[in-house]
Amino acid sequence: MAKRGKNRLMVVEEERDLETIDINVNVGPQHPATHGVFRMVLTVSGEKVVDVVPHIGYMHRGAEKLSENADYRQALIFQDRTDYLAQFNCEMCYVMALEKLAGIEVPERAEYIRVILSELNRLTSHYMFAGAFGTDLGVYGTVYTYAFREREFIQEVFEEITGDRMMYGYFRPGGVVWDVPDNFKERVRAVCEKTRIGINDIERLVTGNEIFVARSRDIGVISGEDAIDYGLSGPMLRASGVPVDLRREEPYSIYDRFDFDIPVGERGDSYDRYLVRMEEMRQSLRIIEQALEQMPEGPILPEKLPRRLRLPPGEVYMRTENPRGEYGIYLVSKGGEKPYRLKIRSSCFCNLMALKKMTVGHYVADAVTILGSVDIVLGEVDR
Amino acid sequence: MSDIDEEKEDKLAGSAPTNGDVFKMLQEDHEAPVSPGTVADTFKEVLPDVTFASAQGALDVILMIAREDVPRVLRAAKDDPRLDFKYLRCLSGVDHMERGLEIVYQLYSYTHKHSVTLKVRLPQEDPHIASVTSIWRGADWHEREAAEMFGIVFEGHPNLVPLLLPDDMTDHHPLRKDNPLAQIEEWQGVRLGEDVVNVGHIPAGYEELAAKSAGDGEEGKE
Amino acid sequence: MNQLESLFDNVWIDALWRLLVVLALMVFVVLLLTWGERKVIGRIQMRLGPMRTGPYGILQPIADMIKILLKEDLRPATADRLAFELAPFLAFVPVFLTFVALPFTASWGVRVLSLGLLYFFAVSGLTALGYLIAGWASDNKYALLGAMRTAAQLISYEVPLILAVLALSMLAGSLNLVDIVERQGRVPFVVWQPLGFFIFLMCALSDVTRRPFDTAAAESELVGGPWIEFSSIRWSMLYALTEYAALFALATLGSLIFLGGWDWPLGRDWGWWWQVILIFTKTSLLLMVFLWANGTFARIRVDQLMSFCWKFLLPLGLVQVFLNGLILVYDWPDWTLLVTSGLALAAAGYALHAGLRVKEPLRTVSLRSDA
Repeated sequence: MAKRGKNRLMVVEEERDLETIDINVNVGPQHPATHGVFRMVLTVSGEKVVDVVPHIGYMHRGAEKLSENADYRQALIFQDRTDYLAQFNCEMCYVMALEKLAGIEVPERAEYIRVILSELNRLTSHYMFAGAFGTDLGVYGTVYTYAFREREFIQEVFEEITGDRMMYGYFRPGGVVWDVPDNFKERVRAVCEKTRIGINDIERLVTGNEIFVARSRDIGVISGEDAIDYGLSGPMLRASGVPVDLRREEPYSIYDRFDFDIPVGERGDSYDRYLVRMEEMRQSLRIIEQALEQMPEGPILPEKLPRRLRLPPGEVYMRTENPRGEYGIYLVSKGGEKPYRLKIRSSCFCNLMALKKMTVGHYVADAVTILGSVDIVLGEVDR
Repeated sequence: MSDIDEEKEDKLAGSAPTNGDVFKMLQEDHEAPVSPGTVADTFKEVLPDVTFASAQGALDVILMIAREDVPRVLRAAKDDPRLDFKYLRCLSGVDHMERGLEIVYQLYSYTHKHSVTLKVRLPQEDPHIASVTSIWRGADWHEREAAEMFGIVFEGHPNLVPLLLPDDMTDHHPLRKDNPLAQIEEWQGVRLGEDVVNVGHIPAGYEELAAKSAGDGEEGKE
Repeated sequence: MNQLESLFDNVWIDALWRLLVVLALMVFVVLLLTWGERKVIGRIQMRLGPMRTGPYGILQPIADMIKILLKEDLRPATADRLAFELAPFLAFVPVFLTFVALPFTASWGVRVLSLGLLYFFAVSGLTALGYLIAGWASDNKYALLGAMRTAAQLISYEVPLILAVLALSMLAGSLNLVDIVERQGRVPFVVWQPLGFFIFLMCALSDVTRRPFDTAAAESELVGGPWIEFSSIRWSMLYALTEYAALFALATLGSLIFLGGWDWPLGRDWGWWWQVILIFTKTSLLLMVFLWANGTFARIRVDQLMSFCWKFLLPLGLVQVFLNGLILVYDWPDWTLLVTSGLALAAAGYALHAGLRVKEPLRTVSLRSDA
């Protein structure tokens, strides 16, 4: 529109003003705020995010289909590979689903071992979160190395017990595959001591720091009702004010014997999610200590366990409280040695649905913060 | 009514399931009856004109309903204060081959602390069902995944495009039972064994390579 | 006034050899900083840093240099040829030029300029132009956005920096760097101007885009900074060389004008070797503070960055100038400087803490014992 007039410059500026386009920022499958291969396309108007479209599936390996072609012992292995930072929790859910359908009784010692290892795994998972969250916010790597130093102590215990550092495959329907070493209790107690110091170290570095608070407070707020509607669970739900923990709500295994608190946030922002996870670590330490005291001697597998497990026909939806939320295994069996349908309800998959709701209206830099506070593991999202 | 009885005996999945069928469908898989006083009774109280077939599963009560009742029942499940299932835990698809496709909803209520499993059976040739994203926003991706894995069409879903699978893979549904687990990577064009009929999804640009390695078009239909 | 001893009578050759010495010194310091930063950050992160390339990793910068020189020098086909080639030089040369004004000892420097301080800031502000041209020349909208943000940050933070330094030159009565150092014979200016020193530290960190002010580099995580399309030696010039050289220049300047430079204590009395030790120590001290901040803090967001500069540092700079003017005009004794500036700094610190601290309690997470 070329208008001739005295005030040419103003005409041009007015025209430009009407023609702003929102640009698409592609936070691509490989990006340094690394939580795995995840792609989100942000539509940005100036500095503010207007739309978020997450694209997942880069790590889809067909675990559910593969489980249908594997028998029950083999299908356990896929559980390690879904959430590869909380492996024991995933294995726990799976073997409990099998036990519920088959009616297998788990000996006491095995239950305690399972609970202790699951809670230690919760600690390593939350350490990883602390490190990754700090890195997302821009610390060069200091929080990351602190967190990994602590995590390494726990990893050593896992390696001593199972022989593996990441894909454990230690639980079996009915118990665990072999007994823990003789110095198990001393080792775990020593690790708990170090963890207490480690949590305090990280908290001193991160929690009160004004820059962290400024970057994560009131960022990515989601209310309690919205959280339930989107199917959020775990620390995300608790940070929004809903006091729900599956270990209390629908107690499984022997969690009803332990005395622990549930951290609940008020504001539902990223900072609250971080605080909830830090507090959860302390509560996990409490559970571990109580379990260590109560742990009896005894067998770790029931005596009469068939070599090839055949489940009666039926179905079960078993759910456990993973570090990231509610992890569910929906197992349909038609008799036989292989699952007919094994659906994995993964916590991060459901938590990611609320990403758009939390991110719209914030700045571009906040999108990374919010993604970090959701704490996704792509193996679990994509299976 | 006699026509419907005959149909029931012959093939269950051939027609849209009628009310009587839900009982039979559920009885095929589950035998344990539901004890009184559970959430099944609350459902019957809230919706007296809907037929529920109920059974006791390993952890939850299982209710099977007909396809037409899905929007009403699920809406009531969320909104009615006696049920108050505000949390949709999981939405899965199951392929029961000739007996149809099944959608399973796992619901939980934080206020009443009860849970329920709701199932719907769909005929294989006509897998349409109403979407529940308008009821629970958290059903969004679950339905997308069920759609791409089983070929179920959710009517009313805002964005039913593939989620985990490639964007152009709309013709091929991996989790169906007639889709076998291939021994080797299909779409790289490597020739499959003779017993594998379904070659599966071939991405754009690779058709020539796949046809060439499938060998003269005798084995493996594209 | 040129008290510099000279080996040559010809003024051009004299300038040339001095420039060469300064260039060598700068390159040496940049290499040292490359190694030093990785060791220091490594120790902060509880790891060792480079250890294998040479004893204690001393040869790491050499290895880095070889690697960078051997990389392929990519250039986007649609990039503006001249501007693309020019941009790294435009970013780096002004930083090198600032070294001309810095006197390293009482009798050695490139030139003693009577407007040395003004020259320093005038020239170092051209770096922003280099970044802007780098972003523009890349023909990449993300690079352009990153470049504009970087330029905005650099230009904004120049203002409080110049105000703080201006206040200091009011005290010294001169813009000549040698004069300023000599005026600190008994007491370094940091004692009289704590507020000015604080502003200087903040703005120096921001001028070289280091944490907590490194949104320019943070854009690389999302969008891409202005140097996204540069590779090999061009990138190294833009990023490593400019940043470390500017860091060195600012640390030297800070130690000259605030910490007493080569003159305090007893610089002139003991000879040039003591002056070298003094200035080396003070510069290293400031450099360590910068590296320490780099390893510890998270980065602040772009809007927080801007509001920190314009709403916090700029008024403080004005306050410092005003206080200095007041004290000089009424000829009050020196300790009033310390008291007023110190009080202003304390008040600023309190205001910052109170402003950043949230009104509600920090720990909004409660523990529930019931379900």
